[in-house]
Amino acid sequence: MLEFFQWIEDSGLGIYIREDPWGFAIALSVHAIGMGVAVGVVIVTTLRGLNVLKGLPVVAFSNLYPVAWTGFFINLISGLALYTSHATEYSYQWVFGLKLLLILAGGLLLKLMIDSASVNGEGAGKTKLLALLSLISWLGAILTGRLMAYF
Amino acid sequence: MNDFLNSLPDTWMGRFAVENFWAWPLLENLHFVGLCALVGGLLVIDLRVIGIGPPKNIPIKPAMNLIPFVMIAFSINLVTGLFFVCANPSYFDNIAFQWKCALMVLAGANALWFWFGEHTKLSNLPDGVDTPMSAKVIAAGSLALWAGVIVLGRLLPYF
Repeated sequence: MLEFFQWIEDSGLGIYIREDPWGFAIALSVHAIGMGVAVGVVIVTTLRGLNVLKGLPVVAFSNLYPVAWTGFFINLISGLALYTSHATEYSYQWVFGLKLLLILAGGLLLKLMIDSASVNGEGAGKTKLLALLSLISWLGAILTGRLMAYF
Repeated sequence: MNDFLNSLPDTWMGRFAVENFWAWPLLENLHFVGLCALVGGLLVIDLRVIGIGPPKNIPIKPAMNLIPFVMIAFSINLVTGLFFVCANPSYFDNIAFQWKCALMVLAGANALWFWFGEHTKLSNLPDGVDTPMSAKVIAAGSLALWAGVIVLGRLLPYF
C-alpha cells in the first residue's frame, strides 16, 4: 500500500500542491469555502430539525441541497488535491480516517433526519436525535480535519 | 499604539490562547464552526434574495428570522478571533489580515444597508415573489465579501 501512496505523492498534482509556493494555500482556501457552504447548510438544517431554529420547515432547506452538494464536491476535489500532496503521511493518520468516517456518518444521518422530519415532523424525538447525531458528526469532521495539522 | 499592541499578549485572552496547549486548536475549531454557521445562515437569506434556482422558493419572512442566528455566528468568530489577535498582535502587520478586516468592515456596512434599506420591504414580500435589484446586489455583495474574508483568513499564515 505504501508504494501506492508514494506513487500518488509523486504524481504531478501531488508535487504541484506540495512544492508550489501557493499550491497548498490555494487548495486550503478552496477547502475552507467548500466547508462553509456544505457544513453551513448542514448546520441550519440540523438546527431546524432540533427545533433550535424555528419558522422555516426542514423541507424549505431542500432548496439549498444543490448548493450543499456543490460545496461537498468542491471539498471532495480540493480534499483529494490536498491528499495527493502528503498521501503517505495522511493515509496513516488516524484523525484523517476518523474524519472520513464522520463525513460518511454525518451524511447518512442527515438523510435519515430529513426523511424523519417529513414523516414525523421537526419536533419529533426521532428527528431531533438524528439531527443532533448528524450535527455532532459534521462538527467532528471539522475538528478531526483541523487536528490533522497537529498530528 | 505599539504599546497597546505589545500589551495584548499579557491580557487574559492572550495568555489563555498561548499558555494552554489545547486552547489554540480549540479556538480554531470554534472559529471554523462559527464560520460554517455564518455561511449557512447567509446562504439561506442571500440566495433567497438573489432568487436564482431552487433557493427562490424559500419563504422570505422566516428566512429573515435567521438574521439573529447569523449575528450569533459572527459573534463566536469575533470573540475567538480576538483571542488569536491578543495572543499574536503581529497579525496587524499582516497584509492578508489587514485586507480581511477591510472586507469585514465593508461586509458590515453592506449588512447595515440591507437592514435599513431592504429588510422591512423584503419581510413583507409574498413567498416566491422576485426581490428588487438593489436587494440582489446587496445579497451578492454579502456572499462575495464573506468568501473573501474566509480566503484571506485561511491565507494568513502564508503572509
